[in-house]
Amino acid sequence: MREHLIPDTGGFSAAEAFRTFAAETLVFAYRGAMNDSITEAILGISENTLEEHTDLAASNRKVSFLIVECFQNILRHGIGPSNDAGLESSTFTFRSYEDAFYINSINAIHESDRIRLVQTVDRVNDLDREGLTELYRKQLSDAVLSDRGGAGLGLIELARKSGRPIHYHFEQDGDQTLFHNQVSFRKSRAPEYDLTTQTSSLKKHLNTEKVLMLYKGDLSQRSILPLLDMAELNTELRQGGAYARKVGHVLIEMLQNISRHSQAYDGRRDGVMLVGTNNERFIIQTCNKVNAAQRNQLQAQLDEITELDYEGLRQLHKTKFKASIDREDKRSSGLGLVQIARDGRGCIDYRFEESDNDDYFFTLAVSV
Amino acid sequence: MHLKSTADTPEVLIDESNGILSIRGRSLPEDAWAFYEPLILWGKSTEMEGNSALSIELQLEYFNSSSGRYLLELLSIIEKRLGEKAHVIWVSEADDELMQEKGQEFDELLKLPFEFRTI
Repeated sequence: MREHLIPDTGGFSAAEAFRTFAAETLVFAYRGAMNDSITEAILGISENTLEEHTDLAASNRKVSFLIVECFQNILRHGIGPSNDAGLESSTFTFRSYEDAFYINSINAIHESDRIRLVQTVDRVNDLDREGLTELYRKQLSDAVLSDRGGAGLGLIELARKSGRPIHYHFEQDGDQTLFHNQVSFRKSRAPEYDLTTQTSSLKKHLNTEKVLMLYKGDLSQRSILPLLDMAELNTELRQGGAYARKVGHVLIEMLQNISRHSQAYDGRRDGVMLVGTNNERFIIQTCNKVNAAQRNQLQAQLDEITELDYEGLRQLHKTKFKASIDREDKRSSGLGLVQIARDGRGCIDYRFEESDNDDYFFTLAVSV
Repeated sequence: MHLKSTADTPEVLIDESNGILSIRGRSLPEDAWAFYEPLILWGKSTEMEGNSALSIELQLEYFNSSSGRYLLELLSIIEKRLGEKAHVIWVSEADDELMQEKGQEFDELLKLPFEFRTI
């Protein structure tokens, strides 16, 4: 059964995310649960991409450090309504764009901390490497630590490790003061951009569509597994282990469907994954590019699938499953979409939108 | 045969002397055929037919559609060769309804006796 799950044109669908971040090789944005168990899963997602960029790979440990430090800065210093499902006002993103790696964080702060924060960041940005080291030692020996772990030290370390100034700005959201900051890392002399305003706009989209997690990038097998872990952790914190596995069953098949069947460009099979919530349900959206022949084949399969109720899908899956073991083609069983629809209890939606070079954006959404 | 589990493949244990085939963990390989081919070859081998009884214990956390296909192929080969000398123990978490339903589908498609256990 087809259900309206993909935001209409103008809304922030997975295809819209694909278009928005067309130039980025990796984008990860997160406003889900924030605790220490999530840190490792986030690192898993970033590390795959870093390995692809030989230019940045040598600095993998440095970038990993920056990611952990930025994420934990939100954990330590972010304020506002929070529970296991996350800090409502916080957003954490990282992206790889034109030979540079950007980490953007947004979190609410106490208005009274604003001046101290500005002074610290400005001071850090004015110092060279030696000056930063000196300041770091001084702060350590003075033990000028905030109640929750030493904001000053964290910022100095970020500037030391990245070797770049920290971009920042503040935004008023109702009675909340939001602190945006950007830490970047580049190996080459690539230009560096201030993406804080763009991240602010992304945060608004994520909030409106209740997206917990966005990923745009390569969807080969090694990228998929950390995404599965991350989705599982988030679902489990919100709705328990049984629900987490349901989401996991559907998500893995959706992502592997892209990995197996999407159009490859320069050896990469890029795609977008959005995991969001709607009332008590999780909505998973994926988007990838397909050519005209793939579009026609998918359309025919989806037309058949969306005609069926759960019992019909169960029967169709059973028939195709039984027939699959006699197929000669060992790599394509044609079962994936039927399984996705059946495991999602039939609540699916899809859309094709024109892309470039006669290709199409194929968006698939399932509610679990 | 003993294959250790990886991030996307399950642990496989074949203990012919005790008539046990056990597959546990996540089965999500990109190329499921590459992983399951040795198991299917074992299913077709004379060693397998030597089993007077075979207990097949499947305890899977996740499996992708292509793994499902080769699992079904493996079980149907065993069914053809051993008949009711083989039986399946399908183990899942008590609250994992989807995995239980997947087990029931296997049960409906095969004649092998199925026993469902929850942990």
